[in-house]
Amino acid sequence: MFATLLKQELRLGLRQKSDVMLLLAFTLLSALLFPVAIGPEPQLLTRIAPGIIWVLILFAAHIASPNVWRQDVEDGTCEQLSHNSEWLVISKIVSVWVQYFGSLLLLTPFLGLVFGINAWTTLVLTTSLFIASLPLSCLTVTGGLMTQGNNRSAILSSVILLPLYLPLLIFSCASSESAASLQDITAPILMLAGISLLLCPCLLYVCVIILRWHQDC
Amino acid sequence: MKRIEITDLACQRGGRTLFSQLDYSINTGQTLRLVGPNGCGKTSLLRTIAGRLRLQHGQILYDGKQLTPEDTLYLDHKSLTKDALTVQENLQFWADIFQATPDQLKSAYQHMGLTNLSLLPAGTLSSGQKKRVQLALLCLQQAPIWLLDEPLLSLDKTYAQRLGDLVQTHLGHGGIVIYASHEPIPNLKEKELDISAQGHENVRHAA
Repeated sequence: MFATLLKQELRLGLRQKSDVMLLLAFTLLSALLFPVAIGPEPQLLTRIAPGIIWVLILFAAHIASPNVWRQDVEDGTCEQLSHNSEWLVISKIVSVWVQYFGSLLLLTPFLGLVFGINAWTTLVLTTSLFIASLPLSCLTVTGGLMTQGNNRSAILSSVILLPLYLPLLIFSCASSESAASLQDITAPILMLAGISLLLCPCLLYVCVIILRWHQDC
Repeated sequence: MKRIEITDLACQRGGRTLFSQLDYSINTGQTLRLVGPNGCGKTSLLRTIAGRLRLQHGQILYDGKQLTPEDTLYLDHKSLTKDALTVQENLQFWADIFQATPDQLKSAYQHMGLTNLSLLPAGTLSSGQKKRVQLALLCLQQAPIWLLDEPLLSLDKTYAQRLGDLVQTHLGHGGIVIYASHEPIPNLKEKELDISAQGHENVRHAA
């Protein structure tokens, strides 16, 4: 069941590459806006870069979310598979992880280059993103599910979910900060991993509940 | 003999009672067509039987046990196909989900005349052709109870006939078919249930 669903998701992803491409273009272009807006001050840019990159990737993840479920809800697949909703949710999370976060992770070193951050900090930033990417995929999938249904509450889902991004943001930015000032990064990275491990199953549970609840509407 | 027994079923949508005190039973090998004006609750009844609407009142038993979603296949106006994928890829996906045998997949192509369309992206099909792809799922699964909401929508005469044959075969294997449609599926002996009149005394037998 899981293999079939995942195969379908990835096949669709390959067939509709433009979604991912647009997301990457969005992230890259918005990153390029910062030097223009703040002015060409390499030191300042290098200092704030990890935070900017992180926030941009959060936004990208958030923008992607309404598309995640739309097709399946519109063509009835979601309802038809309702008694396998766990597998449906897990396959969505994995496919979002591979498609969106896989490509965003590949983009991160380039963004690092754009802002001129050093190699070690870029590596730590990418690692922290990698650790957080799984709960971020869960958040994208949950957000996508919330925007489906009767009132398409995209803004509501942002308000509910953005606070959940915060702990991830805090600890991964802390790790980049420590890396930039050549301090020990173990503590923030471990905290990040711990929070990720905590968030994933909770969000999975929330997704399945929302999916069941949708059936009754 | 297995049968669906509906007892004292009631359904409310948006604060309005669509039907109540609905008692009915359907034996295997029988077809029931739900009729009635728009908004009288045909779809809601089908969705309740399919387990997609919460049972608000009463009970639905199949073979003496609570009806489960696995017993039913429900098809409505939603296409269940992905526009970006070909007909073949779409059918293969559902065949894998329903764990259909290669023979079942072959009969799905044959019954709904999809062999020539198999390599086309589903997005390029006409609405009638899309409906045929959706109805082909009937061949791919094993659920004994088919629940069809407007199955004839945009089907031409030939394929309406084919659908009739498909239903007939399913009934022959001990299946049950309940559908909502303003037109009867060709070549079927069926009962009609007018939901707007709430039930059993309004059942009449159609030839």
